[in-house]
Amino acid sequence: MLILLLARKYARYLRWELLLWTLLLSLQAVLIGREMQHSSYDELSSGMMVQSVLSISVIVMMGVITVQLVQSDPVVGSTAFWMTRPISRAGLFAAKLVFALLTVVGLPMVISGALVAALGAGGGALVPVVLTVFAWQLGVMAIVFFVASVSSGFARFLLAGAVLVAGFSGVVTYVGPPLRDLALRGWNSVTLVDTQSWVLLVLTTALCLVLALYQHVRMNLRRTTGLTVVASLLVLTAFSVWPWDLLGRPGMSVDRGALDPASVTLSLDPPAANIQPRRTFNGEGRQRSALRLFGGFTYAGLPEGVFLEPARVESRLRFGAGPEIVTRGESRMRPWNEREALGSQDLMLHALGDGPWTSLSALQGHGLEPVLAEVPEAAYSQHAREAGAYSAVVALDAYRYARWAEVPLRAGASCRLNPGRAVVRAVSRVLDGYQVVLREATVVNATSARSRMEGQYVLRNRARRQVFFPFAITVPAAWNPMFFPLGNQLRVLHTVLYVRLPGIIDDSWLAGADLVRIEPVYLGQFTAPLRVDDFVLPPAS
Amino acid sequence: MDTAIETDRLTRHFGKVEAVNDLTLSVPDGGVFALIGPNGAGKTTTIKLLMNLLQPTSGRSVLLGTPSRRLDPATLRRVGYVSENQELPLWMTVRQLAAFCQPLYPTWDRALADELRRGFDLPPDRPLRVLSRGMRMKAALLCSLAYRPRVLVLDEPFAGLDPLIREDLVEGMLRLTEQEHWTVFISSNDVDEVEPLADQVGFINNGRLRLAEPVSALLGRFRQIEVTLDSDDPLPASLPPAWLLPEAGSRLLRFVDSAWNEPETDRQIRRLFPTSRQVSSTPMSLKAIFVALARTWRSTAVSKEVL
Repeated sequence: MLILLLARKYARYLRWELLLWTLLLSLQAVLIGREMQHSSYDELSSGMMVQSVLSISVIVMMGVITVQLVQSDPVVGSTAFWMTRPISRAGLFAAKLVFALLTVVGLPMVISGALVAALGAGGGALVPVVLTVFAWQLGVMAIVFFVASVSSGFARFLLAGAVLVAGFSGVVTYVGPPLRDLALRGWNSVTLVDTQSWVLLVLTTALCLVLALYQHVRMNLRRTTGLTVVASLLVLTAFSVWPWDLLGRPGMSVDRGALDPASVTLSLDPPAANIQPRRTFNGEGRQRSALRLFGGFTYAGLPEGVFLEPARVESRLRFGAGPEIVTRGESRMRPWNEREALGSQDLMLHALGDGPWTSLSALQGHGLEPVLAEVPEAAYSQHAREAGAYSAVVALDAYRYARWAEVPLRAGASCRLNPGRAVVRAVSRVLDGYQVVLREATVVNATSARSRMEGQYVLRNRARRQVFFPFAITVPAAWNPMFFPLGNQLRVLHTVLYVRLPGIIDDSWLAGADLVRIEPVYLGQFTAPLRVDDFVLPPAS
Repeated sequence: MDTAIETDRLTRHFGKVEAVNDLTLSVPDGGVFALIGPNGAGKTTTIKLLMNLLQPTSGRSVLLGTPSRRLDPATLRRVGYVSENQELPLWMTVRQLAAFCQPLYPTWDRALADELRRGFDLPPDRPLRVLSRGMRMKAALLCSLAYRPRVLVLDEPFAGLDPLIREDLVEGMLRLTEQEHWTVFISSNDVDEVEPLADQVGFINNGRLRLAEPVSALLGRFRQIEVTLDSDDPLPASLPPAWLLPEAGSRLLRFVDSAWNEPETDRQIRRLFPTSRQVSSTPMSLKAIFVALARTWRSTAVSKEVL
């Protein structure tokens, strides 16, 4: 009853802003949709300008609506009309939150969902997109909501926001690292910069909403400010010292029909590959504090066609009776192994089926390797030539390549993506070979913890039983608005496939060829143990 | 008689400033209590503490039996509040404001609201932002009267209003309080404007409540006294503490007697001034009493007990 009454009031108060907000969102969605379907690489510049203006307008409008909503019934000061009326403070908070959820969060969700559905994405793509929009909008809204709750007037809101940003930067830069060293002496961890993830978004959202609720109920600005400082310090410090991406834990399941985790064993390959000074993000003085040991894994017992990517490594290294060196490395935000996996042409040939096939390419994929351990400099100097015991628990993402679509090699032909669509725009001869220009419109999940692996195009000539892996260059063909999650999730790519094999691939070879798109299919995640009893640290490179 | 408002050693400091200090007060149910004091005396702070708009540094206040710190919607449905400092939603029209308030109060009397609107001559469909300050105050008053509150708290409601509007408001309030047996707690620094309304009065100065008593008792015990003397005798070294602002000259002694009782005052005058020929006592207006007290407080430290 109260919520409805207040919501009606807010709707009347903000009617023009809401109308403008709806128009901006709709216009942006229409432009993005149009770009996804029709635009070409050459049409970029004009669209970028419009999108830039729209994107900034959308974020400003979102801030304006949230601030006006919260401050229309302010919870600071002692002169607001509502304060002496029979309006419960918690009810007021609930009304504002519900209204913000419906307008600032709900409307973009609906428009995003409609757009993605109109572009042909099924439920599998639609749900993550809508949830991502929800998470982003809610997170930004919660921050603005909180800052507006502890300020009166737009100018003070801006001032409070600036103080918050400065405080955030200060904690990240100056408070987190020393506390991390203090709390995790002997541990090796990644910094806040490394661990940006949805966990931080969720915590920030929850923290902002709880503090906003507290301010609404208690209306004690001094105490709320104190709590904000303490809570922010705790959360940010926790993130500075927390090496884990929490998201990895619940997803520990794998498609048992495709892979039996118990049958998979892993070993180091080579036992120790490469050791380098640790790269940190916290300033010059910290760069020589540890050495990072990079290396790869080899797997036994894998079913044919399945390949693994290390997602996380938790390792323990001990030399004699010395202290245990614990490393927890999260690879999710660092997609180092995609190219390596993509380079496995045997896997892709297997995915083509209907073999055998002869590859005319010589793919050599070698991406970044996971961090096996971080060794403090002092420990490295002491134990460089000594055999130690290395053990690790490795979380592994399992994939299998699948032949996703086939497309004739001619301009205008198209194939389905997962989700989205790719169109062949041109097939042309260049100086030393050929080039195929593709335009791909697809949906990505911006906040997905598991970085999505890209598909791969293979040039296939059935009659000759030959395939060629063209060298691909992909650039974004549509500008993604930075501040609007919908834009971040809908992606238009301009891909050029270069076919250069003079003397073998010529007009007649291409006449009988088609393009096959191969995409990795995620099978799930599992953990596998690893133990090396005579582990010797390699020489530093 | 039940108590509508009660404060017990209520204190509020802003840093080193003592806005309200040790204020103990009891306002019985029914009638009009006027809290009078100069600007910065602590009237608004007292009311804000009462309405839970501020937290006390110490002490407590109770409104309709509910501690102010725990004022809930159920209690606020029986309390009306109008303040010169209140920020109304200026984008609303008078009609919209009333429509917004109506569902909040089960006792909202639509007929009374319409009557008040007509009586106050409020344009229903013009946004508050284009209305004058007086009109806005009337709109606020409408939204605080239409549900027939048991207690009406008014913080400087007439400040800055032109006399005509002030007259309208005073008349309207007088009529309603007589009809409805409401308790009205009104603060003002203008004694004239509350004199026609008040049954009881409290004087506050520098955050301290100097006195609180029925207006009739106050008017009864204060007199302007003039004593004609036979000779220019000097004033005695000590006068009764209840005699305020004594002035002597040209065989005339003037003072304000704050504890006037005709036979007793006469007896004291005869004792201290045996040559006195004539004594005249003039009743004082509430404003004259307030001015006399304010001057006394400013010039000397007169204890509360004396007054």
